[in-house]
Amino acid sequence: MSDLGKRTLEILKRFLSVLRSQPAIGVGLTVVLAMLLAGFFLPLPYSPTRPDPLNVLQPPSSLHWFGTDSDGFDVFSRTIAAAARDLPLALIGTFLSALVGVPLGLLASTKGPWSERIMRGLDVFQSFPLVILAIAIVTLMGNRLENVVIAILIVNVPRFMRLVRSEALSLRESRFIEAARAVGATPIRVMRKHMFPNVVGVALAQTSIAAAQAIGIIAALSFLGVGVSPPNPSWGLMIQTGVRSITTGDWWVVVFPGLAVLIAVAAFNLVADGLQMRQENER
Amino acid sequence: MSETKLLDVRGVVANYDSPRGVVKAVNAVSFSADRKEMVGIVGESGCGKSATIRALLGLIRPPGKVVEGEVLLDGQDLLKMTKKEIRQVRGDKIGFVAQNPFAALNPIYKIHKQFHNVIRAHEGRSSSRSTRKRAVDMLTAVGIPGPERILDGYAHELSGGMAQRVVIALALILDPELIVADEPTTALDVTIQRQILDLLRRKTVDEGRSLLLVTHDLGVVAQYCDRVVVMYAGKVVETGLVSEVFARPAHPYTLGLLQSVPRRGLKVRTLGGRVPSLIDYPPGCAFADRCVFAIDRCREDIPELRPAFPSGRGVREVRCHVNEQEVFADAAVDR
Amino acid sequence: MPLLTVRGLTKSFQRSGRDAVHAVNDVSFEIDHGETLALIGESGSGKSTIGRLLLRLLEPDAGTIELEGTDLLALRSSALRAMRAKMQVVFQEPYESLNPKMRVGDIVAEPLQIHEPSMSRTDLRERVRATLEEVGLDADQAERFPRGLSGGQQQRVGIARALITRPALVVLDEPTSSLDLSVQAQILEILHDLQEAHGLSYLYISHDLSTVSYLAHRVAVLYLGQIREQGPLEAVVQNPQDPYTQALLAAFLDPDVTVAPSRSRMLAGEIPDPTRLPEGCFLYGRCPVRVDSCRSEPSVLRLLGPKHYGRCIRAPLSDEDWNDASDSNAPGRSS
Repeated sequence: MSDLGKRTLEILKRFLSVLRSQPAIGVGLTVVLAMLLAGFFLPLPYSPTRPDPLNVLQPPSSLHWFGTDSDGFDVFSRTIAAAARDLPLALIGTFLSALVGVPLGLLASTKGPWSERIMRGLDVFQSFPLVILAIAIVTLMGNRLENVVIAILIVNVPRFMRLVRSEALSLRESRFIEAARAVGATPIRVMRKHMFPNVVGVALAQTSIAAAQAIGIIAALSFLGVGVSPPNPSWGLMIQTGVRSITTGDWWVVVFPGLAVLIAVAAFNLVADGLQMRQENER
Repeated sequence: MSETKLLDVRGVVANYDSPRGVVKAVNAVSFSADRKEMVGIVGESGCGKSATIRALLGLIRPPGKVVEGEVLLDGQDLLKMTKKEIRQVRGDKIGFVAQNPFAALNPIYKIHKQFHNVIRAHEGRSSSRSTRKRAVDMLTAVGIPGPERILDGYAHELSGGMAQRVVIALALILDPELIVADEPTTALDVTIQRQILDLLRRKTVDEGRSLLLVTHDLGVVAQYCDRVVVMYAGKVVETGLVSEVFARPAHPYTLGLLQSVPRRGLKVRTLGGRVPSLIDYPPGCAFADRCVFAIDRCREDIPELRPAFPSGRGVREVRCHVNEQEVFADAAVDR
Repeated sequence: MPLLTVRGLTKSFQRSGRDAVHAVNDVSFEIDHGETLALIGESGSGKSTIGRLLLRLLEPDAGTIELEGTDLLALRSSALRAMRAKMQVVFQEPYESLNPKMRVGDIVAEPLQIHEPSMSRTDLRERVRATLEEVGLDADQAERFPRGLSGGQQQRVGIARALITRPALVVLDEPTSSLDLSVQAQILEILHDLQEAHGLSYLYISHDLSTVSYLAHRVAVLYLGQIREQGPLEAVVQNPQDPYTQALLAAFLDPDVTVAPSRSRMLAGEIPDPTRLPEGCFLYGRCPVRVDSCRSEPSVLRLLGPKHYGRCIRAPLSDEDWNDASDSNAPGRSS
């Protein structure tokens, strides 16, 4: 038990030292965390799912800070509430992508006919425009949240696989992998103990990039009406309703959810940049 | 020797700023080199030998800087020159041969183009035909068969030994008086090493140049150099004629290095410990912690270079408080 | 029965679109219990490839390898992995051969976790501690990462990892060539002491004559993937019979200034392309003492003295043979 405590303490220490050397990671994580907490716990002035048909397209005021949209929804309440849906969706989709893509990438780096076959299969698969494929699949399978996650997986798993495979291929040539084989480590052990810890860094950086893209994918799906279904709040959905109002000069409907997307994406990219810098420095 | 030396390095200090403090990479280094003389600079990694030659070539870049000293080449101080002037001197008066010939040659230019560029940079316009003629002569002089073919090829088509000959030819094309060679044979095979060292010796002694040879290989110094500068922790700890220093080392570090060469039947004598950090320089002698001869004074008082074995030939200096007779007596026990 | 018997080992590397490189050509040797056989050769001689073939880190094209009577090449993968407890390796690059994300203690413990999975954690920790101390590291260095260690300490970790399963044979692939002289001496001493203490057998791969003469009992000289000469250290070093061995020994630069280098015994040119092996004697193109029959007669190892084998048909070669050669028909004397 004390051993476990020691390990946890050490991981915490390492995490802190990472934050100290790359403050961008801390800034990015704080912003994401703040958005999540606000989405779940911030008391909202109006219900994000019940519109007020008497107050449509109100400009920002002390009553409606971000104004209201053409259905009478309070833009502020919805922008905040959407974070509780869009961000977890993006994070879950991304982590699942990493969970599937990293081991597959490691496996695909082994020598052998079937790893070649995996890569050829991936080539064929990736020759489709993946975002469009994802949209098609979600459209066919129905407007459910699980399907949004699947769409994120379709786009991201191949990326993780390629990245991890190329890292693993160069690791395979390294002396310490040869040394591990020389002491009698099985191929599985080599992957688990020697290759995996050395690709975690790049995989984490890729996770942050993928999370930023997932925000975009969710927004795109909702914008096209196949992701989160109304009246549930989602930034993509809000932008879609907002676009219709922008021609009449009612800018606030589209600008605030747009800014939210921008901030979330920027925060994830900050984390990714920090992680990448750290990788570079370690080399 | 009343006439001035070709190269006279006097009290050069070069520091590097690092996050943990100032690294004293070159700490009041002085030595000289005469015409027709090969001077070996030896020491282990981190002793400051590479930083020393970078300092005298004007190649120390921020965060490093030379803060003190003079580097007199033919009486002119290289450290007072502008960047442009020093660039002229490199090539015109100093030829440089690096450890890895493939890093020294440009992979995308033909060999002839590289000769052409060097000549044009230093002598202004010159026709391709005339530079070609000079390059052929020089490649022949460094023992390259079929120089015409080599000139029309690229660096990657050469073997390591041939590439190093090309680098030497490039270093010599402007007829410099001083050749600086940084581990010129470390990357080469032993049977090639002799060929290259013989070539450098011929170009130095027969043609009246002077050669600074930076190396960690005591055998190279013993068999090729005339004088030796032994460096430790950024300082010169011993200088003198190779025949004297290697036969009768006066500094315990020199002795330790010589005894580290493994030989059949003899137990290798090992120097314990490590080179101290060049940031927290110890109050006394930097070698004291590893030294079997160390006395109390060594840990308090920084030793200065002083004459050693005054009865011997040539100027002999050592940076040590311990009497050199005592050090040498210990060396003799081993033989 | 010798510990290791290698017969007719052959390996060439196929390269897509280009000629195959013949790295190892019909190599046979034995290693006894507690013995060190040195494989000495220049780059491209195939010495490191032989080490990897022995450990089946590479698969040979032909030949047999027997360790303690077991035919290694007949083993399936799981049986081979079990066998790896008995044969270990120390690589040239100390840092690159350690996983940067693992602690020293975990690196050293891994072979035991693999080969003795039932061992308790306290026993494991105790063995790691004992092994670290045996190679001259403190037990508390087990908690550190390789990055924080010096080159010498990293190589000690590599040795500890190779030793912890108490192997019979250790392949040492230039274990000291990237280390400083004083550190090299420490590592050699450890390797020597460990051999005495545990009766280890070493295959010592090197290009450096001084370390070979310190560590080896027998020597095999490699050239173009072929053994040119093989025999007891004294016989090969003091009475070499092959012109390549003689040139290799002559190329060694002794740090002892009283030993004059041989100026006559030098080979012409460079190592030929290993994609096209020469006919007859592999050395023909570079050999100053060659005769016409060197090309026509098959090149075989023949007995020259007690346990001393060589390929040269002109053996024994005298100084006069070399002197005659340097005056007359040598192939383009090296410049």
